[in-house]
Amino acid sequence: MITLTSSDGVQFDVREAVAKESQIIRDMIQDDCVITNIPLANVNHKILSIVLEYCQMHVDKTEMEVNASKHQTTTGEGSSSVPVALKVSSNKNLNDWDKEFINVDLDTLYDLILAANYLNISGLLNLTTQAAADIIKGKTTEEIRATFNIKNDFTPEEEAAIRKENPWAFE
Amino acid sequence: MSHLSGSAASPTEPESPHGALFLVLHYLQVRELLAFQSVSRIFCDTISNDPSLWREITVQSPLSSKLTDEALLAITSRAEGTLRSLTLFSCLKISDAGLLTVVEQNPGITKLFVPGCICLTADGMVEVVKRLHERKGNVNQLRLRLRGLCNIEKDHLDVLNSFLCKDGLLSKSLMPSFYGSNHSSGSINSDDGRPIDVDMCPMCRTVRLVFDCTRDECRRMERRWIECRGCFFCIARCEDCGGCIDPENMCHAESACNHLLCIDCWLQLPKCDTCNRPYCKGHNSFVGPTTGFICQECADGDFLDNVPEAGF
Repeated sequence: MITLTSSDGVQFDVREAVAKESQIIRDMIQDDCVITNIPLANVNHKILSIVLEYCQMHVDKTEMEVNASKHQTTTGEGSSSVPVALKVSSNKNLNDWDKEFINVDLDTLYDLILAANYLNISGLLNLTTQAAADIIKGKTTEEIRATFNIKNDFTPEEEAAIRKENPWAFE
Repeated sequence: MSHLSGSAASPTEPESPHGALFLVLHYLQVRELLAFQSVSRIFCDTISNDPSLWREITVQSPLSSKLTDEALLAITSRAEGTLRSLTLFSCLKISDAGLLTVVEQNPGITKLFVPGCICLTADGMVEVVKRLHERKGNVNQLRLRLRGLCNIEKDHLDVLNSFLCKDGLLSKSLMPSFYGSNHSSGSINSDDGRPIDVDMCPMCRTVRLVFDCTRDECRRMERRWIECRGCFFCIARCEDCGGCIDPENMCHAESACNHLLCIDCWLQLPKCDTCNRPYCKGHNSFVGPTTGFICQECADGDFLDNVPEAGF
């Protein structure tokens, strides 16, 4: 077990495999094998618990698949089609789970992106940034400003000049 | 990150954009990047000054029909010669000359997908690949997707293959090419690692997408290339499994979405309560999980039929 401490001092005890979903924790553990307590200065307990939920789920699913394939090798060639079907359905379930998991408010999504980037969890970073990109998809400049609460600091002339650079994209 | 320190210039500004948004920029496509650029100064600076945001460019509908050679040059030049991947879906205004200029400026390009760009020609594509070779580009790592390219003949294909597949036929025969459902978006343009998507159909001798049969027993046949490899026009393929369809069974396996199905897949799919036709898997969003369903065609027909009945 490894203890992760959030920026606001809350401790989480997790299995090593779960913590190792994060590349930086993996590197730390490799550098020093007796490490058991890792402080995470940039992630608060609320976000860390969500991140760990993601890691836990993905580790469990991978282990389930490994067990299934082990089971296949011990039971012989005859049942080869079963684990393949299991793997397909478990991938599908995991995708569905990811989709449900990422259904959060914008502030949480922001924090998850930063946490995934800081902890270097590539799957979670892909999932969260893609979710944000999907929110942006198809939106106009004004809609982007409204959605993400960004202030327009251009003068009207400057804004017109920028749009003139690529008029074909805004017609 | 440098762009984050930029926002510190006005620390009292409550609406300074969230740092996470700068990470998201790498996941945006051309249209959204250009829209984001005019959102605020900091995004304008970041997007115009970061060539890495422009290394992988994809243009699809609704911008496809508007993209001119000039506009393409404008967006690709933002990569400052480091463009790695260019995907243009049905960009009708892009010419051979335009594409050639882009490639000349970006010799490191390894992915050039131009399906449905009908103004490009086979001669033009050969010229593009030759030029890349002259400029010492990574031609042997280049992947081309040319579906729908005009007037492509066996000679063009031979020249392209001679540049792209240094190992001769080896890389081509490594992986069979299966017919995937067209409507599960992207599958037909997906990057399966093959150098070129099109091939010469062994039956009609035209250069098109050519599919192998998904049935093991078909592919294991000694005469398998003659028996079960061909373009969609020569060998009908099942929309769901990609297997060949026995012409004798075709009339018994009608679908409600007019896609072709083999008899094995047809038998397994849930059928419309009225006309006994199934939807293929790409169109089965109308079908409930357990109960029966009425296909759209029958539902439309029923609606009209039911109007006078309701009056009785």
